[in-house]
Amino acid sequence: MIMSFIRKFILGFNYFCMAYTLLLTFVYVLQFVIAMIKIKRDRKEEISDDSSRYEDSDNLIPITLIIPAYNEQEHIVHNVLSLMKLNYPVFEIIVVNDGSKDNTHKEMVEYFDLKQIEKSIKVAIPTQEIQGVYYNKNYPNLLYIDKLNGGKSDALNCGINASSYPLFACLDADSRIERDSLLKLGNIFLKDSSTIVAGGFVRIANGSVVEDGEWREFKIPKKMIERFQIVEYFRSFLYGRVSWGNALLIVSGAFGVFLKDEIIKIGGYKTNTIGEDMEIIVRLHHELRKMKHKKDRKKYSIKFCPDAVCWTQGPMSMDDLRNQRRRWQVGLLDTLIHHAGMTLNPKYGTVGMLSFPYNWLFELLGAVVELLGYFIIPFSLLLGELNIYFFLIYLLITVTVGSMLSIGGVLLEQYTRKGRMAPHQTMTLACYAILENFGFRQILVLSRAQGIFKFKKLKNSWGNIKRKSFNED
Amino acid sequence: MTSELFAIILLISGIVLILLEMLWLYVLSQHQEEYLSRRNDETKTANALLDAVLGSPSPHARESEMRNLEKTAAQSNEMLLCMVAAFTRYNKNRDKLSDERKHVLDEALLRFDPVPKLIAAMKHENKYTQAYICRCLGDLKAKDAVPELRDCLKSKNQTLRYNAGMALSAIGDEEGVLQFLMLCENEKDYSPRIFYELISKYSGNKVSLIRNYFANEPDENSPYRNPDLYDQMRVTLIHAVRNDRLTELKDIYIEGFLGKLPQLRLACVKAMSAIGTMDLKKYLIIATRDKDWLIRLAAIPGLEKIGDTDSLETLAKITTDEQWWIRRRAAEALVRADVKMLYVEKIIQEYDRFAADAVKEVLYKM
Repeated sequence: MIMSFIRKFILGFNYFCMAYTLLLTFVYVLQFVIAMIKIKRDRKEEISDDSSRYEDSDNLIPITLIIPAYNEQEHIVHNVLSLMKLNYPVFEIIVVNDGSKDNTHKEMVEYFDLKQIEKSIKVAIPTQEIQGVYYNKNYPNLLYIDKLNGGKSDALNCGINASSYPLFACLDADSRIERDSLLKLGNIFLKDSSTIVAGGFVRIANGSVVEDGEWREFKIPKKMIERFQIVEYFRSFLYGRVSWGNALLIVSGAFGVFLKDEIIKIGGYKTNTIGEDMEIIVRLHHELRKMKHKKDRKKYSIKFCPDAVCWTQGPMSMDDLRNQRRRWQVGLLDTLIHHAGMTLNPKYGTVGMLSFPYNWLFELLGAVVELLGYFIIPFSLLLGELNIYFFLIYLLITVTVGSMLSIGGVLLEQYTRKGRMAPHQTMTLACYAILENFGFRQILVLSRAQGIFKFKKLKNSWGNIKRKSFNED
Repeated sequence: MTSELFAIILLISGIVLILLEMLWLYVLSQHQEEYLSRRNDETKTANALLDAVLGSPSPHARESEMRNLEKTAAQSNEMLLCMVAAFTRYNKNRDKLSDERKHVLDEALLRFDPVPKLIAAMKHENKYTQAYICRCLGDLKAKDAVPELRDCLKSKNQTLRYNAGMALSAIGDEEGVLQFLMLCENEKDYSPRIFYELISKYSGNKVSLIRNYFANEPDENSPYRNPDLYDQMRVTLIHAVRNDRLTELKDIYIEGFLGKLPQLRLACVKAMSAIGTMDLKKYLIIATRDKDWLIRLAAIPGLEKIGDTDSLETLAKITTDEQWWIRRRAAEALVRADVKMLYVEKIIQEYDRFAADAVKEVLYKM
C-alpha cells in the first residue's frame, strides 16, 4: 500500500517535473525573444540618443543621490568622491550614516571637513532619530546625516526626507556609477513623463578595470565563481529586466532613480524587510493599480535602461555568494507573501496576471522543485519507475536549453555593449555559460531553497559580504 | 532501441545547436569589435583631417588637406557624419581657438559645405539616423535645410519629429517651431522640460515666438487641437522663458495672473518674480495674499529681488505664513535681501522654528 503510494507519487512528480521544465523553458525562450527584439530596437535608436546634449542643460530634473552607509569605512569616501565626478548638471549627494559601529562617521567628517549645521528636515516618512546634519560649503552638493541605526530602508527614508530635489537615486556605498549613467536615466524622465522609476544595469566589476566608476577595460576575473556571476548577471538583467517592461517587479537597490513624490505617497521604504528594493516596486504597482476603475488609475511607467551602468563587486567566496542568494530568496518570499493578494488578480493587469505567478512559480518555487528533482528523479530510476532513456532525453533537453539560454545572455550583452568584450573573452564566458549547469547552478539552487526553508530565521538578519577595493587587482 | 537512437540524436542535436549558437556569438563579437574599431578609426581620421586643415602652415598645404578631407567625407555617410561631428566639436569650443584658426574653420566649413550632403544622405538612411542628421543640421544652423526639417515633423516616428523640432529651434525657424509646438500639444508623454530645452536652444526671437503661439488659439470645433492642451502648452512656454526675464511679455504675465487658470497664474507669478521690477511689485504683493500657497511661494523671489521697504515688510509678514515651506523660503529671502538685518534678528529671536532654522542655515552657507 505504502509502496504503491510512493510509486504513484514519484511517477506524478516526474510528470510534474517534465511539465514544469517545459513551461519554464518556454517562458525563458519567450523572454529571450522579447529581450532580443527590444535590445536590437534600442541599438537602432542609439544613434539618435541625445542625452549627452543635456549634460550642460538646466532642464534635466535635479537628482538627489542617497547613499545609506552602515560600516562602510573602507568605501564611503572613495564612493562620494567618484559620485562628485558624475556627468549630470544638478545633483546633490546625501550620505546617511545608519549608526555605523566602525569609523564611517569619522572618515566622512574628517575627509570632507564637515561641520554640524542646524537644518530642519520635513519628516514626510518617519525614521529613527537624526543625531546630526553635517555640511561643508566647499562641497556645496554634499550633505551628511548621522542617525541612529534603523536599517537600510530607514536610512533611505531619512535621505528622502532630507532631499531637495524631485528625483532621488538609491545607491550602494560599495558600488560605482558610470559617469554618464545618471544622464541616461534622467533623460528617460524627460521623454516619458509617466516614468516614476528608472533602473540601471548592475554589472559585476570583478576583474574589469574600473576607475572612479568609469569602465576602462573588460577583463575576465581569475576566480571561476566570479566568472559564473558575470554570466548570471547578463542573463538576469538582460532577460529578466528588459523583457518584463512595465510589469517589472524589481529595480536593483544598487542603482535606481525614483520620483520622490510617488515614494512619499506610499510611505517610503518598508523598514522590516530584506528585499526593500523589490518591495518598493511591488508596492508602487499595488498602490497605483488598486483603484477599481481603470480610468481612475494613474498612468505610470517603470523603466529599465541597460545603458545606465553601475559597477558592483560580486561575492568572491562561495560562502558569501550562498549567503547573498539565501537573503535574496528571503526578500522575494517576504514581498510575495506581503502582496499575495495581487496574484492572479486581474485588477493588477500584467503585474498580477503574469509577473506575480511567474515569480511565485519559477523564481521562488523553482529552487524547491529543482532540488526535489535532484533527489526524486534518481530515486525513481533506482526503483525502476523511470526509463533511463526517457531520463537522459529529459536531462539533455534541460541542459541544452539551459546552456543555450545562458549563452543567449552573453549574446544579448554583445548587442548591448558593442565590441567592449574581445571575441576570445566572449567565448570564454560562453563556455562558462555551459559549465554553470554542472555544479554552480546546483549550489545556488540549494542556497535558494535554504532561503525559503529558513525564512523565519533569516528574515531579520543582515548579510556581510567581503569585498575588495575597486582599485585592487 | 528507438529510445537509445532518439537519445543519441538528441545529444548530437543539442551539441550542434550549442555550437551553432557559439558560432553566432563568435561572428557577432568579431563583427562588433570591427564595428567599434571602424567607428573609432573614422572618428580619429575625421579629427586628424580637420586638425591638419586647421594646422596647415600655408594656403597651398591647406588646399591639399581640404581636398583630402572632402575626398574622405565622400567615402560613406558614416564618414560624412563623423566629419560633421568633428566640425561641430570645434565650433562648440571655438572660443578656445585663435582668431586665425577661427577664420580657417569658417572657411573650411564654407568650402566643405556639409548641408547639401547631409540633406542628400537623409534620403537613404533609417529614421534614427535621419533623426541624428536633423540634429547635425541644427548644430550647423542650416537654414537651407528648413523645408526638409519641417517635412520630418510630419513623420510618424516620434524620435524623428522630436529631433527635427529641436533642430528647427536651434536654427531659429519660428514657423517650424510653432508647428512642432502645436503637434506636441497632443504628445502627452513628454515632460515639460523638453520644451524648456527646446526654447532655451531657440536662436530666433523668443518674444515673437511666444506671442505668435498665444495668438494661435485653437478653434472650438478644431478636431486636431484641444483647448485644454493648448492651455497646458501656454503654461509650459511661460515657464520655459521665465529665466530669460523677457520684459516685453509683462502684459501677458499680468493678464495670465489676473485670469482664472491656476497653472497659468502660477507660471505668470513665477515669470514676474524672475523679472522682479518695481512696476510688478503691486502684483507680487497681491500674490503673497493668494489662497493658493504655491502662488504665495512663487512671489517671494520677486520681492527679494526688488528689496525695497514694502517688499521686505511683505516678506517679514509671510514668515508667519501657515505653510512651513513658505515661512522658510521667506526667511531665506529676507536674509539675502535685508542688508541692514532689521528683520533677520527679529526672526531668529521669535518662536517659529522653521523660519529661525532657515535663517541660520542661510547665514551659515553665505
